[in-house]
Amino acid sequence: MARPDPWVTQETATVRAYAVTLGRTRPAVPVEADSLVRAAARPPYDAVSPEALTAVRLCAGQALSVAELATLLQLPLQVTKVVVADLLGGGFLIHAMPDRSADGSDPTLLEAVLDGLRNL
Amino acid sequence: MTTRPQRHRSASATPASDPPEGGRTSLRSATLLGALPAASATLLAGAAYAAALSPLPTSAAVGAGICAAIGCVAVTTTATVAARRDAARTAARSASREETAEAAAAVVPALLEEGLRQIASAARRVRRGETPEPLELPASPAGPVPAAGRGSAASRAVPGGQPAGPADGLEDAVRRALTAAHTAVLTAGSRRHTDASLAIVRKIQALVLMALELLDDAHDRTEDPELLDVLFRIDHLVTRTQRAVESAAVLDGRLPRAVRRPVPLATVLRQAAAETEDYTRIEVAPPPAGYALVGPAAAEVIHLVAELAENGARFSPAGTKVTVRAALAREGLVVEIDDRGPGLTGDQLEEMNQVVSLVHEPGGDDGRTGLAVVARVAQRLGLAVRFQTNLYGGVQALVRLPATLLHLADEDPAGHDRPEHRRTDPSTAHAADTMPLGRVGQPGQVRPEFRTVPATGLRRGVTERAVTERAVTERAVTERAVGEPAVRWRGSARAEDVPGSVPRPAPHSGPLGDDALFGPHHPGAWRADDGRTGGR
Repeated sequence: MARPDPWVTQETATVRAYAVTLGRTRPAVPVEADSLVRAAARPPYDAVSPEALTAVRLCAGQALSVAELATLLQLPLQVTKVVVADLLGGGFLIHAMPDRSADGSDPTLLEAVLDGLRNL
Repeated sequence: MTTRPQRHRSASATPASDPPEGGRTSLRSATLLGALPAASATLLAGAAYAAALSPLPTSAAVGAGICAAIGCVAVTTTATVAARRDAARTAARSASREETAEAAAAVVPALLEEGLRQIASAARRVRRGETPEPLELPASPAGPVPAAGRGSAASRAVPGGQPAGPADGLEDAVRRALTAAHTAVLTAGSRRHTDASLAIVRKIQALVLMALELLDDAHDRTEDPELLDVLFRIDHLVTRTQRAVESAAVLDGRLPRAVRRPVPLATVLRQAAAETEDYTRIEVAPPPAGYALVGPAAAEVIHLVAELAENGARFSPAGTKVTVRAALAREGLVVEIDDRGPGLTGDQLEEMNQVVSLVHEPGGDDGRTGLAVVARVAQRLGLAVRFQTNLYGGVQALVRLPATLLHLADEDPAGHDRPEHRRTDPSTAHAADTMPLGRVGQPGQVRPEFRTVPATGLRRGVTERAVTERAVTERAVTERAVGEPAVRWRGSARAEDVPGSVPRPAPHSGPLGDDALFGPHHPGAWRADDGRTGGR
């Protein structure tokens, strides 16, 4: 059967962002855009979406910020946070540095801030 | 589903160089919130218009007309029976009037049959764009029947000048109902697509695609969960609008959208789920890794699977899941959509199988637009669609995709020994997309390379890698630390799914031959729990 010409031709097809998280917009555990994460030794065996698996692969052997992951995954930042939070909760990703979002008393950071203020 | 616009954020942009700007975000949020609902409302209105333009009102009108006719007959018959009981009790009815009533009642079945046949014929002609015949009902044996619609049964007198009895109105009522149904068919026919209205459908589609691009951009600009939630709801509505509009185009024999590059099977199934009304109920099992659909067919297959999944969800209890799985078949792939709803009788299943396999009359007369879309797409791509009962007592829809629609993304270096294996590498993907369309949808034409693919030991990779293939390449990230995990996922990494729960059995990916697929006892049914019991 002859096929009609398409009205619109797109380069590729993707999954709408809301379907990546099944509509969830809040990370299950606190995650910030500058949170650094890296892959845990434990490989993701179960119930991991393609996006999540790619995130783990990208973080294998190096620490990446959630913002960087968002760019690499071509996902919205907030969606990436939800995905990363799931992976953190599952133990597939771990924080690469002390989590500043959870604890504002990181001495190294405070000293850096102090230095910066002195140099003003 | 749409092409995701290229993100402008640099890979090295970290929050250190791009600190949060609450004020800016809020401003943007306010602007987005103001503009988007208005846009989506317009689009939904457009979708409603497109739905009104669908060629299917013919079926709906026929259905309504027939229902009216049958309802009319039922009411009249009931009244007749009741009145006869009264008449018998009072013994007031004369023998001659009884005979007249019997004669009138006797002629009704044949009258109905002939009328419905003519109406169905008229509906077919309307659908084909031909001029329908006028309704010509057989004359009443009891004498000439007054023009339909003139006078009510109660005021009419039977031949012979006697007062009207309840049964006397039966034949007249049937005639009037049939005439009304026929008129409804003609009216629906006059609302059929014209080139102008189809142009409007196309315009709506273009607007919807623009809205989706804007939404992609909007998603990127907010970290506000509440705003994102609103955006997601709008996105879902616009996505459904897109499907509705494209259904109108498909039913008119058009091809509203196609994509160039192969689309990973996982993306096809997940996006199909995303396009349904109740998408959180659609559970997508990981499909066989390494397979993609050729670009020209991908958008249509997404549309088709979405229609079947939505059908399953709509006709099953609200709390239950609809499972979408894909398994390799002997020469192609089978997608299985299982619902747990109340099942259908054998006759109903047979009817649905008829509807989706009718080549010349997509849609039948039952007004089920979704099935009409399925029929159209299946016909166009050479897919086999079959409904059967599953072990949940629900319905299983099976779709067999010919191997000509499949694209094997082989990332195994050993694949170089088989150069005919195509890859989804962006540099070579286009070659596969330019596969002559004439080959699409012609069952039996199997690309020879697929015969060499073993059903087991499939190379994995495309499903997840294609998502960010370019990104991965740029970063030159290897899998060294992750190894080769067994990839299993289900639509999303919900929090409760991710932690190392009980390992879920692998989804079956064994070959399903034709006999297995279309035999009376589908072996797949015995695996109905595969891949989805673990995490629930």
